[in-house]
Amino acid sequence: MVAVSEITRRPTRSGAAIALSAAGLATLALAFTTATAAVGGLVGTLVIAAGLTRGSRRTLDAAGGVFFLALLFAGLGGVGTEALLLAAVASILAWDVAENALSVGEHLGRETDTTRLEIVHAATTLVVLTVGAGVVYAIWAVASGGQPIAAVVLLLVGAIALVAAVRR
Amino acid sequence: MTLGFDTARWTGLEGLVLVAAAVGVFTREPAPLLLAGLGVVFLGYIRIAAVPDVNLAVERELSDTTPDADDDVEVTLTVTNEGTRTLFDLRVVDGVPPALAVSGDPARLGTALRPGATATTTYTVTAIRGEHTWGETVVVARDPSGAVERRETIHTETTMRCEPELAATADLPLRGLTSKYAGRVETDVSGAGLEFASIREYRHGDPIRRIDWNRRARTGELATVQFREERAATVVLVVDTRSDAHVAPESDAETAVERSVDAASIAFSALLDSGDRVGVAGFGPNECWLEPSSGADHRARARRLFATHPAFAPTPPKEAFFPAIAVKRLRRRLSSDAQVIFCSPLTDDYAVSVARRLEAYGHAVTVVSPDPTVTRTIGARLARLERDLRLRELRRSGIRVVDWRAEPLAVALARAESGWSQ
Repeated sequence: MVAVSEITRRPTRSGAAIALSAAGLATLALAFTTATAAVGGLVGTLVIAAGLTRGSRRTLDAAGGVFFLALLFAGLGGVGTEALLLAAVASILAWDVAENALSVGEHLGRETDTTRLEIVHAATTLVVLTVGAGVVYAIWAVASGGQPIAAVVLLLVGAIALVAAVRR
Repeated sequence: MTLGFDTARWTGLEGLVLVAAAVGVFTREPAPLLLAGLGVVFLGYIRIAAVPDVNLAVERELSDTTPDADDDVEVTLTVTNEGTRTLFDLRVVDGVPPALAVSGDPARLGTALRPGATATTTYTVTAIRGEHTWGETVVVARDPSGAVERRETIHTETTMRCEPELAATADLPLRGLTSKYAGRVETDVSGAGLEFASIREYRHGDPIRRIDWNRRARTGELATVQFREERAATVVLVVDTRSDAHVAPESDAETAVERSVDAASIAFSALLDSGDRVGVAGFGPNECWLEPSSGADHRARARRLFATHPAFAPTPPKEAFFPAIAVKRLRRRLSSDAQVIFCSPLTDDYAVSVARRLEAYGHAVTVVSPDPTVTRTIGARLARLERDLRLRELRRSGIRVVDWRAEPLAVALARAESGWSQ
């Protein structure tokens, strides 16, 4: 019998590379808002890197939380809406691709060529997020004429209700 | 088997959206509301995810379906999307037979497939003796967001059969128990043969050729020369295939059962070549019995038996085993003049008791024991010591033992033979 080549059940390299690039992009975008947010983005990127090295889903979730807080701080700073939306898109993409790399690694291992799978996944997420950011930005640009905040909140609640009503 | 379920990977996103919205409301800043808005759009994308319909055609092609042992066989796995929708996230794990080792690329595939598109992966397995049937291919398909997935198994019939040639690479000396037919084993019975045994007084009817004419010339008496008769033996090769015997020095090394079967097939061929009648039996949960016989047909039958009989499979048996009944059945089947060559790693005392019982019932027993022990840990050294004690016990009760370490069987035989009393 020959030596059995065991598969390495760790996050795939291609997925990790995409995720870390996206996290870096998010940090760069956050740097255009406030200093606190930029530091938060940096910490988030490091935590994502740690999660990918250890192959831990919990660490990745923690990284997502750090990015969320950084985005909130950036938002409260009140500068750079475009940069904020870019950072949001990049950080959601980073978490999504990182988690996907983890699950692909568990199913197929590092040795299998999964580049196509992961690029398709990252591309669909990116398209959806870009469209979403575009829609939100357009609403913001139109509605920034001083509508009461209650109207915006009601709009948001309505949208959430609509989304919740969508059945699989 | 089909399963569609929620992967729960986006759980908690709704909460984050609501937190962002609440922060926006309290601080009267538009930016958190923008984040919440983006979150809502993304949630909508996740909610519309449908469990993908998997309609795949899986084909498997082997570069050689009847390879020789240790040959590398290339397996090409082709997956075609026969459904009407694109599968964005498709993960395929092939059901490689448990006894085969995959080297190089893994037997796995991850891709996205448009309708009608085909993905291929090639991996290499190393053939070992036996009949290997591929199991079900497991397919996991996820929707683009990864929120839901479906698991399916697809069965594609593929079988590889590896029947090594029976090669007599070592000559196994037999003990004195023989049948009434002429053969190769020298007996203590005086009669016709080659090796001088004794001279006795002439009796009426002795063949003229065997009269000692020298003595007749010297003394004038008639005397008859006697030779040791050479007869054929009936040998049954008993292979220990219990799960206790499925042990190996390392996780990827040959198991003791593999080596036992090798020893048995070498002995089978050698004995058949020298005119003995040879049978095969498995001592394990999977019953296996080949009546002692001779001839080309018998050789072919044995070759198939060694290669494909489930008793000799390289993976441990799962069935329950009742050793006392198996010993009784084996005894009933052995003819009274049958010798036994017992191939067992002797990893427990029961194997020893089987050998001793068969010896006690008059079947001259030779034990060929592949050594699976190592000396790496204290426990392993203890196991080796115990096995050495078992070998000693067998030798003390008059059974011939061949201790087969990591060397060719012929070498082990030569070493063992020098210690045997004839």
